[in-house]
Amino acid sequence: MSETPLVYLRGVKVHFPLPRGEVVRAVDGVDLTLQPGEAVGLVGESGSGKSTLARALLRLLPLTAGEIWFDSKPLHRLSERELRPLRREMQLVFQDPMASLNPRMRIADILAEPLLVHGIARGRQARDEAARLLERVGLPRDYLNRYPHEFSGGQRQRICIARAIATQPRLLVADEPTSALDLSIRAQIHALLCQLQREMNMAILFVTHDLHAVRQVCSRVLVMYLGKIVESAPVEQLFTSPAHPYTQTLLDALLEPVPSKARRPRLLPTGDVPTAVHLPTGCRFHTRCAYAQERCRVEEPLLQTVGEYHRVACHYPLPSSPKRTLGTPSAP
Amino acid sequence: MWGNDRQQLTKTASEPLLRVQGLTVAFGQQPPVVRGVSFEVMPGETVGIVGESGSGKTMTALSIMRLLPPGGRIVDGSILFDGLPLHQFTEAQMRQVRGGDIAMIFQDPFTCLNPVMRVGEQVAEAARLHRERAEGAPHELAVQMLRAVHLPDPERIARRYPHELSGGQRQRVMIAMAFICHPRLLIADEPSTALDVTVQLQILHLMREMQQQQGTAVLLITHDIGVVAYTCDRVLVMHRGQIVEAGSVYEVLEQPRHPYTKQLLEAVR
Repeated sequence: MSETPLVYLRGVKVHFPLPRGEVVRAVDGVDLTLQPGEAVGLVGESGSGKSTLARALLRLLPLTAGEIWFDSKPLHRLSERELRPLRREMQLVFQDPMASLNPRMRIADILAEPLLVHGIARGRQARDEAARLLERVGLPRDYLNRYPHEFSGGQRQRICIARAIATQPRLLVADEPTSALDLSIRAQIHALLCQLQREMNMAILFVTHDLHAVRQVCSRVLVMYLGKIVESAPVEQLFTSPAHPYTQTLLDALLEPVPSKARRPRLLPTGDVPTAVHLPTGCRFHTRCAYAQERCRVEEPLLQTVGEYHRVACHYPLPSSPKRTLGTPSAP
Repeated sequence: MWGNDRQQLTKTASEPLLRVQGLTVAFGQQPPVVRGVSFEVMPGETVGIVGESGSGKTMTALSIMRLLPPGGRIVDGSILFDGLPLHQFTEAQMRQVRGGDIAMIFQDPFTCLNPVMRVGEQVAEAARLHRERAEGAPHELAVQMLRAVHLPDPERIARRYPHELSGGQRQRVMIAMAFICHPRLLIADEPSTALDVTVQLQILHLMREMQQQQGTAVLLITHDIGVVAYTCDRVLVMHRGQIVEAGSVYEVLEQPRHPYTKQLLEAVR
């Protein structure tokens, strides 16, 4: 991890004002580093700020505070015009492939558009390149003349991915790219993302609430809760020895399809997720944490190192043994 | 989630609470969406119906409540609840059953709640409709129920409107409403699907807790095999309108026999 990072975020905040002078602190002080070619998962529940962070990183949302460096260029200081040539280096795939494909454009034109916009290819050449892109994502080239509605959800997401990689980006941000798809199709799209990441040495920021998906695609995971990153770890380490009680809670919420496994003791959170308007004092998770102490209510924990590449923002991180006795076994 | 004691209990209980036989449901002249479905639910038991979208699981549940969408009708079969032929009941008779002996919880608590009515009123309304089952002042009962489902500051929550609550809180309100009249059967259609994962677990636990307190049987409709594995005693696997496999969750999910069940499990492993 000694290379120059591809993406470097420092103290990034994205706040949204509300009418009565209140503020939604969607992203509230995030530091983050992405190495070239690295696949990183950003997980959290709805309202955690993960999508806002992903959009802010691409400068699709205005920053309230902080710095974003991409390939050693200060994105936070660049104008829209200065950003434009960099756009081909960072692409985005959304959750709903139908909503992000123009229903009146043929696939050939959808795939050629980024090539035209960035002056990479045009005419016959762009069409040939579009055909190659289709094959790259596992679709036959004679689909070029079809329209988006003629495809299944999984095929549409393949087309969105083909469009995203058309400019050979160095960073692909995928925001819940498989959440709308059937389970069996999900795994195929995950495999495609892995393959492209390897072949193109492209970094992927995979935003999702689905921990299974992260395990299939990513080598490192960031866990977000109420606008902050609370844990960062290599993916297997996160699954086997999570250090933050919130991460443990997320893992315990995964219900195995086998009764003998599903009925193990679980760490059950208390209460609801607070809103990003009225944030709890101290540690943001203390209102739902089974292990919260007095210190957690007053002092906000900072990210600290608990192992190689493993960092956690918790005053009382969980011990690193995978077989831990839970304070409150929840299964009746 | 259930202990083995419950399986013992269901074996010794004599009569099924719900007995569905040869249920066939169709829309207009279309081929039936539910075809000859038969199953039983014993008192206090939790039975899951699992299947993909379009398998007929929701239509089966709606038939029991006689709440099929317009055009849908029961063309064959019978539904006996504690011996009573629900499939022959009039609308007036069904109104006595719904929210009384049989309660229902749906996937999206927001669309099920009246947006311009305070939630306390809505919970109390259920008690008002079935006075014989819920003794006491409806409003006080409602607040008691909101407390029973672990909503913080229930008096204050009772005065709130649905949009002022989170998704998890709304589903708690739905559970309060479902259990206020001590139903003998609860039909829950994807009760935790729209919620975040950690909240889903809380809601499943709450349903379990209420069910144990009141001895209610639960028919749980879901596409999520993890939820079935976690909460159900028995499971019915539906595919294209038919039950293709049925048995205890241990049998069906750990040693599936039908190719479709195997395929379904393969996708989540």
